[in-house]
Amino acid sequence: MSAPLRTPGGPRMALAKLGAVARLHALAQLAYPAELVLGMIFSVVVLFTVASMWRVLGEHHDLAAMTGYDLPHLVWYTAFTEALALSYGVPWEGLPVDREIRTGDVAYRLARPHSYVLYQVAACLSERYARLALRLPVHALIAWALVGWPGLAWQAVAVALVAGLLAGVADLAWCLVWSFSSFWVEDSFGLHFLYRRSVFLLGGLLIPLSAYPDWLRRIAEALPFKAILFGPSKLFVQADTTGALELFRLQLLMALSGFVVVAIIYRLGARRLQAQGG
Amino acid sequence: MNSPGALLRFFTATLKANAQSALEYRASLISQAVGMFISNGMWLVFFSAYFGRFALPGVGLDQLVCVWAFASGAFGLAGVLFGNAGQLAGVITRGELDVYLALPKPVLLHVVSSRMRLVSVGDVVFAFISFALIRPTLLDWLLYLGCIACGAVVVVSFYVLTGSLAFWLGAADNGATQLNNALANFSTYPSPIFRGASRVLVHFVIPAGFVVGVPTELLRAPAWQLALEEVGAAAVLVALAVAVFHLGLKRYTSGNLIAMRE
Repeated sequence: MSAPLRTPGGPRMALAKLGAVARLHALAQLAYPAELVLGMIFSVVVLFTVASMWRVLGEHHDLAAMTGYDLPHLVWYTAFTEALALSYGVPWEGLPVDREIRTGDVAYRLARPHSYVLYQVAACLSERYARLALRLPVHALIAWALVGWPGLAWQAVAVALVAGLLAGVADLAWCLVWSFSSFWVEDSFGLHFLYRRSVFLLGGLLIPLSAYPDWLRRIAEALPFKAILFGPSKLFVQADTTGALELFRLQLLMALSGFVVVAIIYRLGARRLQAQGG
Repeated sequence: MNSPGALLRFFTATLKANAQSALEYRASLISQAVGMFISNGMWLVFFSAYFGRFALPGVGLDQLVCVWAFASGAFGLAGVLFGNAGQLAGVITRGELDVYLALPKPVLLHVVSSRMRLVSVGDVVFAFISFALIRPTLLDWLLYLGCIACGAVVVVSFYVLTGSLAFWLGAADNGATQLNNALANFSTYPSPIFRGASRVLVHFVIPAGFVVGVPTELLRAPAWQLALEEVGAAAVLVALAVAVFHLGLKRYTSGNLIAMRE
């Protein structure tokens, strides 16, 4: 593909367009209230079952000694990780980019007077943040109903929220890498699938990494997946200033490296694009 | 026109077409199947290590392998034979049922069987290999095949029930997907961790107990009562799913969409 046909407006106009895209996609999350209720039923079922699981395990083991957290903290941990994980959307269906490249619709999108990549970032990120904003209060309410308030520090909650927002950016950057690989691979489902499963498994979705067997915990802690779920959720239930700074650094590094790879493969991929028919 | 024989021939022809379509995209088929196989293996290793640390009575390595063999077998079979069932909510929401309504075959059977999930091939392979690891007898194999068939019916029926919510809710893609994922998640946990209300929940709200719990019990101690429970649950769920789908179909309004059957 050659350079864009036109670039109307300056950076301010570009930002205004992205803001409008973000607003539209965030509002779309509110369009179907019944679906929101359905999602909340899912949250109740998951959190209730996880709490039951920890209660049964607690009858046979000393949870605090083996995981570093008591039952209420474990349930609130899961409430936060689940809210984050659900904000990322349907786990392995990929992003709209995958389908647009596969079907060739991308050819129409590229002709629009805005950056295709930035459009996707604004749309996906606003959807994620809207989902997180809707999920978190509901999950907090469910966790409170199940185990009460475990006395979390408000500062820790605030820092965890920032970490949760950054986790969304870092995760999106790498999701876009897998999505833009659709320029080369027949179907990027396998890449999304393995990545998301790795995030769930090695990122501590339902169980904090501290509860993992030693050998698995060492592996999980050495990998960056912990920055997507475990890191923010750990800060949520346990204030840790040094840990927070380390986490922010890792998240920014993940986001930056991901977006650099996205920029490179998008440029290379767009050159390979051949639009046929109309 | 739609006699049982004709329906069987139609279903076989659909399966054949789906298989040919899958083989046309070999790289996708192999990458997705291998991806699912590796993912299942990772989770099995994780659960083995986890329950090795948090030991529970009745949860040993053999039981965990059994859980994964039943879960991946049922979900795999459901995905290979009725791979479009999980997409039902989206199909209804986008108005894509029009394509099936215009054709002479039963709408529900047609829509759920019109696609094969490539990733499910990896599930099925994983299921059989992992079940073989526990050195089963011939009776165990027969029970296993019967149970994963019933489990697949439970999975597809649940997908149809959650997907049919789109007839009433307008858009239920994400909600249905989340409920379907809940079924998959809870089907991979050993049943001793569910007690009291959560046990009721995983049998009668999210029927994971009939995908894994009852079959595992049946394998451990074969009994007619358990076998009847399993078959009965599958039969009730499929009847409920068909009834709810057809009830919802009366509310369906065309998407006025030009589309082709996949």
